Amino acid sequence: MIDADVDDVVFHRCACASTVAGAKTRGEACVRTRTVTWTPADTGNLTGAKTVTLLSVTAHQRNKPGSATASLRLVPDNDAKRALVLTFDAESDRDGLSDAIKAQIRKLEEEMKGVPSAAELEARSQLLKTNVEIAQLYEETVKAGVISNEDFWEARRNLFSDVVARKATGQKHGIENTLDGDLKGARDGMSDTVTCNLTNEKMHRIFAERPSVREAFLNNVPKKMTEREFWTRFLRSEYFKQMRAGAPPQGEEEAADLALFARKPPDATTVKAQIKAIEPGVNLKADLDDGLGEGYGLLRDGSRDDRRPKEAGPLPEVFLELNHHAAVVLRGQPQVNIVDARTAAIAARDHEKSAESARIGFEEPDYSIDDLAAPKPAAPPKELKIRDSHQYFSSIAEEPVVSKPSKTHVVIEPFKEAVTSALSTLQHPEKKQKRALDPDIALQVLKEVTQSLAKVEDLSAQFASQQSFSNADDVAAFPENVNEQLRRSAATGGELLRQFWMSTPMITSVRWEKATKVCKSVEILYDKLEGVKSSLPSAHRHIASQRLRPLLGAFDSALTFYDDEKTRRPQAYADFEKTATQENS
Amino acid sequence: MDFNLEGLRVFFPYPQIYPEQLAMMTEFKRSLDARGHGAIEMPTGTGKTITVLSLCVSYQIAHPECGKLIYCTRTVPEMEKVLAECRTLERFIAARAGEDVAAMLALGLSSRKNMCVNPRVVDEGSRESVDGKCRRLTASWVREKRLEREARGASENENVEDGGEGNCCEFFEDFESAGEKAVLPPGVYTLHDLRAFGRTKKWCPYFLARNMISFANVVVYNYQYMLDPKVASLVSSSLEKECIVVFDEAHNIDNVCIEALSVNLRQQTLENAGRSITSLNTRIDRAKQTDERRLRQEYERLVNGLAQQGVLARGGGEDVLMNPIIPDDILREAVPGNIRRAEHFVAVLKRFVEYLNMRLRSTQVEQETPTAFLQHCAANAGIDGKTLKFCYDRLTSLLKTLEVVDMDEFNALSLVANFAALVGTYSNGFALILEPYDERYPNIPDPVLQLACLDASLAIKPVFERFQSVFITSGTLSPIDLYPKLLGFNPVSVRSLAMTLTRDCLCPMVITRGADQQAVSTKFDMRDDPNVIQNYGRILIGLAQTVPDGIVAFFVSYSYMENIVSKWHETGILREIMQHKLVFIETTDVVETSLALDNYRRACNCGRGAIFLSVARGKVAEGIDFDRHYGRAVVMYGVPYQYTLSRILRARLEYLRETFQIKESDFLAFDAVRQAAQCVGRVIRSKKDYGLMVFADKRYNSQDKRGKLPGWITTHLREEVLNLSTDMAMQVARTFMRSMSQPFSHDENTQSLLDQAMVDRLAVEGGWREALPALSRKLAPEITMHLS
Repeated sequence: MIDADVDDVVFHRCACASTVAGAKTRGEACVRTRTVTWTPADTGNLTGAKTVTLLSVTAHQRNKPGSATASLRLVPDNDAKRALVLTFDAESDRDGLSDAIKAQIRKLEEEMKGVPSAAELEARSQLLKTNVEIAQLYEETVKAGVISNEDFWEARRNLFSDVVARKATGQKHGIENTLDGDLKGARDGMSDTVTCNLTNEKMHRIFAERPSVREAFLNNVPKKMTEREFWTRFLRSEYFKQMRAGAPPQGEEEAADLALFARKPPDATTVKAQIKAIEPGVNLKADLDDGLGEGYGLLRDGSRDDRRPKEAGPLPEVFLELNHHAAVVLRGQPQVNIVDARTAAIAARDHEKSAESARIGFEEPDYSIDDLAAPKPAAPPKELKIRDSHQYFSSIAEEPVVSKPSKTHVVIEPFKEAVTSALSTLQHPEKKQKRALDPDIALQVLKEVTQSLAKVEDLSAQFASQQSFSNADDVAAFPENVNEQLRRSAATGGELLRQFWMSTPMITSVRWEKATKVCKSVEILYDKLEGVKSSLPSAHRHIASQRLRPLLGAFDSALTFYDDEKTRRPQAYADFEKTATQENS
Repeated sequence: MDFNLEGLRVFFPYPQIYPEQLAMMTEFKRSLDARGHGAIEMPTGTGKTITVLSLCVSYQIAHPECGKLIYCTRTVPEMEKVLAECRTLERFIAARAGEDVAAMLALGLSSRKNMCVNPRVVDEGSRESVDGKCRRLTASWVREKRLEREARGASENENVEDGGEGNCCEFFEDFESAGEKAVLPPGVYTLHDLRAFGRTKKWCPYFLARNMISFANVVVYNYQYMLDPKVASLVSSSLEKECIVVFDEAHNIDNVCIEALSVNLRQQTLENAGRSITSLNTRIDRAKQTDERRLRQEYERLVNGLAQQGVLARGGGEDVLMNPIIPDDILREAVPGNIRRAEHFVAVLKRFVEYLNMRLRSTQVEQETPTAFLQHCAANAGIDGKTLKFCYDRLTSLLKTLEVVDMDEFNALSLVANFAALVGTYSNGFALILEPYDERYPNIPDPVLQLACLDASLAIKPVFERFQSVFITSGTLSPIDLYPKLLGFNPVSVRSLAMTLTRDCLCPMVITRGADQQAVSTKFDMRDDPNVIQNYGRILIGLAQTVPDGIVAFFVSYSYMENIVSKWHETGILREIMQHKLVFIETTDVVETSLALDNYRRACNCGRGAIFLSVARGKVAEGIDFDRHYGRAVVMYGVPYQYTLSRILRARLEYLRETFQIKESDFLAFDAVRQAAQCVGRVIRSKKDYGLMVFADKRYNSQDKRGKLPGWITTHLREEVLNLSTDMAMQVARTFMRSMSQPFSHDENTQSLLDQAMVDRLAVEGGWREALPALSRKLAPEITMHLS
């Protein structure tokens, strides 16, 4: 897996010892681009060589200074058994190697972060185009050189990570074209148990191929049954169906399961939408509608047999499945990450919907006779360009991107309503319905919930009173341009503060550099705001200072913190000052 | 290109032309000049449609006295295709000869369900309920009542029971109020275009199209709008004698003719009819109390024998299906006395329905002639033939007098009246067959009384008599002399055109046995043999491995397809097929089948490749093309014979033998082979296209089946592709696919393609040197007026 050409560069080598087959053996450790290798000094001994991939190192341990033998332990992938333990003659050797390894890991990690992918770049520019506020902020902070581009976007990763995750998986994955997705399970041969393994992908297959199962899942899990229960029932139902081979189900439970998971004909609106989307060249429904009604013409004239009486029994299942199955395979796998059954169900549903809406707007069918027509001028050759090499490679090596949950807004009102209505039912025993909980306990729980709700309400009321930006009658009197200026300054200030606090604790010179830069801008903004404030007439000045108070307070504390940090971390500050003066000179 | 064809300037929207097309145009032109009919077989994939359109439109341009082109298609998808090609032609003529010459009105016509744009109506669901809802909103008495109400003032509107404004179709109202101004500007209108036009103008597209038919130059609609007297006298009655009528894909036209005059009655229908009678009775009672004058007027009209004169001519939206009798056979005399009074007539109807019910209770199959039926009916129910003959018109008159709006409730009753009228009118060429159960499911009682028309010439006779030139054309009309016999007409030109080829782009082959040398066939005693099923499966696996893109397989019937596919599923053959291609299947649900076709095309477009399993006499075989990559191979499993034990088929065979001296086995083989040829012919569109045609049945090897295939297939059925086993066939298929995938050019053999210079030379050689006639276009004056 490791590219030999790249890994040839040796950054650091050091003589040390390790244990080979229980015996301490002398050898040499090398830090290479991506690995640390240890080879025994005795070149005849080929079995002893050990390699640890740098990026997989999860524990990096040195023993205490002053121990009998200086040693270093590297654990890859949290797997203590594969740990590489090296012993050194001198502590300085050990520290040298250790530092080299750390430096190399850091370098690799930096590289890993690397340039943003094209998908990400596109998402960023899209965001700048669509979101005016972010565009303004970007203009004032990044374009002004206060905050680096990467820092700015890093703080807003949540806004586009979903989009990127969807786009960055470069390749469309197919689905195996088999009808029965291995649902039968296997007997272990000894007991009466049938085991069936479900993977995320399998779940998605089931949900895509069987919309009724998907609906059952979305409607019942987790409200009415647990996920485990659902799958058990489903697989059992499938198993029984196969075992019975068309015979009626035995027992109510089995019949209920069968009914729950049975194929249901699509509802009228779906059918209507489907009919609309069919290209007129293959629309047999229109043709059917063109004919005369039932009763006219011949019924059993020997040429057609498409009338199948209901009493003749249902069609074999394979008939009902084939077309839908082929459509599912044609659609392929959706380009979203499937992490559990629910995402699988939602992905299957959304994919089906999007495929259906993509149908609409069929192209004009081509009925021309191609060899009679004049040959079309050859299209100019297209330049071959791999638009996004990063995307291509990243899709291979990328770890699964976990999409971050979007922030949920706490909407108090409807919740409160629900609670009050529940309270009323509990307090009026005549309204009592089926319940699983002792009413007294339930009442207590509800009371607690309401109390905490009240607290939240109080808090939010306080918060609202402080947020005087939204105070309507003030705004009316306040000059619009100043208002706008304040709003923008506040947004910039917020961003600056965010970046400032992101650089704490200021333990490296890089962080100091950033913090200093941000602080300078904060000071400038501070002065600017003060200037604006003083230039206003007194009535407005009062409102402005009221509004700006929280922001300025936050500025103050940030600046104080910055000054404190100078005394708290003198070493790092000194380093920073040194590099700064060096650069200046 | 445009060229001189025996003195006619023909516009053809391609720079080159096939010799077959030229030959077909010549045949058409000669027939048109002679004002006679024609039957022309033209190989599939040689551009029949555009040839017919080019010639006829060019003929119309040169001869302003020539009437409309009525182009009848089998299916709506074909209709769309014809109109699309018509549009190409119109654009070409406009570019060549100017807009004035090109200006024409071409439109398609279909049912309300396919054309309605009123969202409240079109969402009704079934075709019948759309028709019903439409009539309820647009019938003249409904509108009159509403207008009356509006005249009385808005104050009373509040207590109107069915809600004032909601009770009208704004599209129809706008169309009506536009009056003579409601015309379509010249152009080519598909159903979609008509709907779009209707939406923008707020005019009802259905009535607009029906209205515009009399002004149009090209009309495209379904066969039945021409052949079925119930619909034709409604839609096509205003067409002039000079029209050119073309039946495309006419290989099945005899069956359509027979269907047009046949009726079947089931238990359900009779029950519904009984209910309608009860409802009629209450309505009559109500009418007697409130408005007896109307009933009396109707009675007087009937006494005076005015039933046919103007009273039944209906305008506006209340039109119902017309008399099922061919116009010539409708009696021009007064309605018999016993059914003149409404209550008497309803009593007769009631007796008749009871009589039919009694007949349906029979437990054995009965077959009789209409004469025998009438005698039995007269003896048991006391209703004579003449009364029955007038049933339909009498019912229509009564429904009109009672101002019935919800016509869909009376569908079953009008079906019974329909049956009565037919059985009372025709004694020859019809048979009554009563089957207490379906032969395939003998345990399930499902009695059906069918009045089967046996003579195809009955329905089409008025068409041949009325119109100057009628053409039937198809890719498979072999043997071509049989059709004039079956349809009873004398064509001036009968021609089966051969196919010239640049390369052997057709590869028909006959597989008679599997790799295990066991014969394959769908013969009744063999079709369920597991070995045959296995061998049939192997053929498809082999083709799926060999052939790129799309493959179509046709089975002889649904039930056989059901059987074989589930066997394939059980034995794992389906799994093996699916390793190579996606599998789609035709089902009895048309929406699902349409979606499957759509997805099938997608799969072929994206290169995934797919197989479509279909039925030889099904909807797909009738109306869907599998040209180019949509069908690189087609397999015909078995010989698609009709179900030979069917009573109707037996009756028809007997009739054919007695009337035309056609041997039963000959007709059956002819019918089966034309279906097979039709199925395999779906894969070729042009000479650049190519396709493998597999006939998988040992019976195709015999000369009497093979010989009945059209010439363009038999010329390619050489010894080396006959009597193949599956493995040999795959060898042939591989070679064929390889040779066809080589770069294609027409250059090597100029015989298969003519360009402008060659066509001009041909014209000169034929002595057509003189100047062409001046071009003029006949547009209906109404449209011209509207244009200016």
